[in-house]
Amino acid sequence: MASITIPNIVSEEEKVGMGVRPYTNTKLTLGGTTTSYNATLMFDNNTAGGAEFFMLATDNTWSAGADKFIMGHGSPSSSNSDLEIDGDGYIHMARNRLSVGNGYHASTGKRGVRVGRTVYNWFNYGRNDGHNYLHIKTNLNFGASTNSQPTMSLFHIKGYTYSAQTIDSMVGFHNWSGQPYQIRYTNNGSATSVVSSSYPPYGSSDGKVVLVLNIGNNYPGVSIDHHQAYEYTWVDVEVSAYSKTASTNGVY
Amino acid sequence: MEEYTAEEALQLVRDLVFPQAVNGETVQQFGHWFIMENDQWEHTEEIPE
Repeated sequence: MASITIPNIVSEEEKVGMGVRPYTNTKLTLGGTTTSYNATLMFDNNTAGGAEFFMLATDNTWSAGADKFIMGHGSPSSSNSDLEIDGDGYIHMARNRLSVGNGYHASTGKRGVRVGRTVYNWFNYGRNDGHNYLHIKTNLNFGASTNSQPTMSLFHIKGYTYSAQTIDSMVGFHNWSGQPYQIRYTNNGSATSVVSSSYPPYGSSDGKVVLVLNIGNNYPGVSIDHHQAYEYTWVDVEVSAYSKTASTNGVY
Repeated sequence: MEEYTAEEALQLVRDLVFPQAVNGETVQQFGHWFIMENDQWEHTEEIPE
């Protein structure tokens, strides 16, 4: 195989290795046999406000640990590591907290964090939009004619309102053939009518599940988790629309 | 999503319980469509929503 070497740079058939021959099936490889920094990539913006970020593969000399891929800001060092992936694929936030999403009020789409078969902060809402009933339209098929997305779903709603109310409510059901079978409403917080059989989940005109929550209009704020632990095929449910209204049914 | 062959999916769906399912109803699981016939899931063509 033809190759040229310009001090420590190896080029082979449109692939480049710096300090090492190109790794199989890669365009660019950084590496070598010197310790600590042979597989380090630096992003160094030297203009006003320019950032310095690094990513590298560790070895036995790193206090952050051997056999890790780490990313961080500032000069390459264990103490500047922000994100670490070990040789078993475990991911660790080395500093500060894990932050996911934009934190905006009532963002539609796939939000929150999925852990196993639960999505935490699947949807959050907090505003005085008038009226009491928050209708949350999902993209989960109710299954009116077919059952493309059957689940055993639990939605857990937690929050607070300026009426000195805590919200800790749950609604669970099995969506099958256009019905929320075996539905259960539980209101554990001081707000005792957030979910109710008086305003059950209903099917939208296009066959999607719509949740109805009575959260009032006195600075309400809620965060909703979606659990679907039962072993049916996982459905990555998202919120497609929402509105606050005086109606308890039929908004979508 | 994991990829299952049609036969693998059929075996898996027959091991699941759908408490409201009755003959003639359809379900999608494991990337395949099934119809209940004679109280047992069988393959069927993909069904549009």
